[in-house]
Amino acid sequence: MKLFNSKSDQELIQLLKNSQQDFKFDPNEIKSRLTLSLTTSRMEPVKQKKLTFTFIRYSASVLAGIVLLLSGSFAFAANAQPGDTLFPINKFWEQAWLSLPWSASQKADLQTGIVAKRLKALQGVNAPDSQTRNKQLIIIQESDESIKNAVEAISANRQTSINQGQTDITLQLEQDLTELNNLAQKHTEEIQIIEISVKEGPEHETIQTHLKEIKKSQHKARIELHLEENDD
Amino acid sequence: MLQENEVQNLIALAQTGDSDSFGQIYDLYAKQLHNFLFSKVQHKQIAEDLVHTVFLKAWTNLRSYQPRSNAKFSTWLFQIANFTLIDYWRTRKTTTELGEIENLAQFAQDPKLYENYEYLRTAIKKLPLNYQVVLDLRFNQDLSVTETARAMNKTPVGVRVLQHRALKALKLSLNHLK
Repeated sequence: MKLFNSKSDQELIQLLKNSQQDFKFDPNEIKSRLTLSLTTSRMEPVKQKKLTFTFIRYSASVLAGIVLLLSGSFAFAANAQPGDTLFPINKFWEQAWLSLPWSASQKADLQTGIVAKRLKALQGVNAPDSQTRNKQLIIIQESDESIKNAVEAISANRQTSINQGQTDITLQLEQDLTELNNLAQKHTEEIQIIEISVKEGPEHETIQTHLKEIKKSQHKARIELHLEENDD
Repeated sequence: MLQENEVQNLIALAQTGDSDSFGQIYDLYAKQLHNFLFSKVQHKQIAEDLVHTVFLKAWTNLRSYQPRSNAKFSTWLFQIANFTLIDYWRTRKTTTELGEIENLAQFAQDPKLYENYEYLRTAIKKLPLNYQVVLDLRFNQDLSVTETARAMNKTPVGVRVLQHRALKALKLSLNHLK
C-alpha cells in the first residue's frame, strides 16, 4: 500500500531496525523457576471450540441478509404478472406457498386464487404492439397451466375426500370446482377476444391450442360436478 | 534456530506432558520474548517475571494450541506475551518510585548502540502501548502483517492502519524532541 509506505516512513522504519538489539538476561534463572512451576501447574485439557461472538455476529448478519433478500424479492415480485421480469420469482413463491401442508380445501382456495390472478392479468393486457402480444401469449399459457393444475389437484382431493367419507370437505371442493369452472369460462372468453385480433399464423395456433386445453380442464371439472357425462 | 517442522515436533512432545521438550522450546524463544517485554516495561525484574508468566501460560494452554500451515509457533507465543503485557500495563504503577529508576543501557548487549538511539527510545516510550507493540513486532521481531495481526488479535488491515498511525505518532514525538 503506497499510501502507508512514504519515503519518510521507510526512513523511520530503517531507523527502528537499526536501533534493535538484544538485552541481557539470565535465561537459566528463569528456566529453573519455570521448571519448578511446571511441576506444580496443570496443563489444561483441549478446549472445546466455542462459537465466538464474532462468528455468531457474522452468521446472524448473513442470515438477516438472506431473510431481507428473500422477503425483499417476494415484496418486489408480489405484483409481477406473467411476462414481467420478476414473474418467475412470483411463481416460485406461489409454488413454495402451495407446497406447504395445507388442508385440501385451503389448497383449493389458494389454487383458485392463482387462477383468478391470471384472469386479472389477462383482462389487464391490451395488445396494440408485438411486445404486449408476447406478454399476452405468456399470460394465456400461464392461465392454461394454472387452470389445469387446479382442476387436477382439486379433483384428486375430492375423490380422496369421497373415499374417506368426508362429506363436508367434498362439498367445499365441489364449490371450488364450480368457481374454477366459472373462472375458466371467463378465461376462455377473454382469450377468444384476443384470438380474433391475431392473424392466422403460429401465434394464432398457439392461442387455439391453449383454448382447447382450457376447455378440456373445464370439461373435467364439469364431469366431477356431474354437469357433463364422461366421454371415456 | 530450528525449522518450524522441528519446532512442531517438540510441541507435540510437550503436549503429552514432556517438560524437557518444553524446556527446549523455552531455550528457543526466551531471548526474543525477553527483548520484546523488556523494551516495554524497561525494568529487569518485571521483564523476567513476565517472561516466566508467558511461558507458564504457554505450558498451561499448550494442549489447545493447534498448528496452522501459515502461522509459526512464535506468533502464538507473542500473542500470549502481548496479552500478558496488556494485563501488566493495566495494573502497573503510573509513577516510578525513587530507587527503581535504572540505567537501562547496562542491560543492552551493545550499550553504545543503546545510547546512540536513546532519543528514539524516549520518543517510542511516549507512544501508547499498542503503537509500541506494533512497531516492535513488525520491525524488531520481523513479524509479517498477518503474524502481527494474529499476535495482536486484529485484522491485517487493522495492523496496517495501526502501523501507519504509530509511525505518524513517532514522527511527531521525534519532532517535539528536536
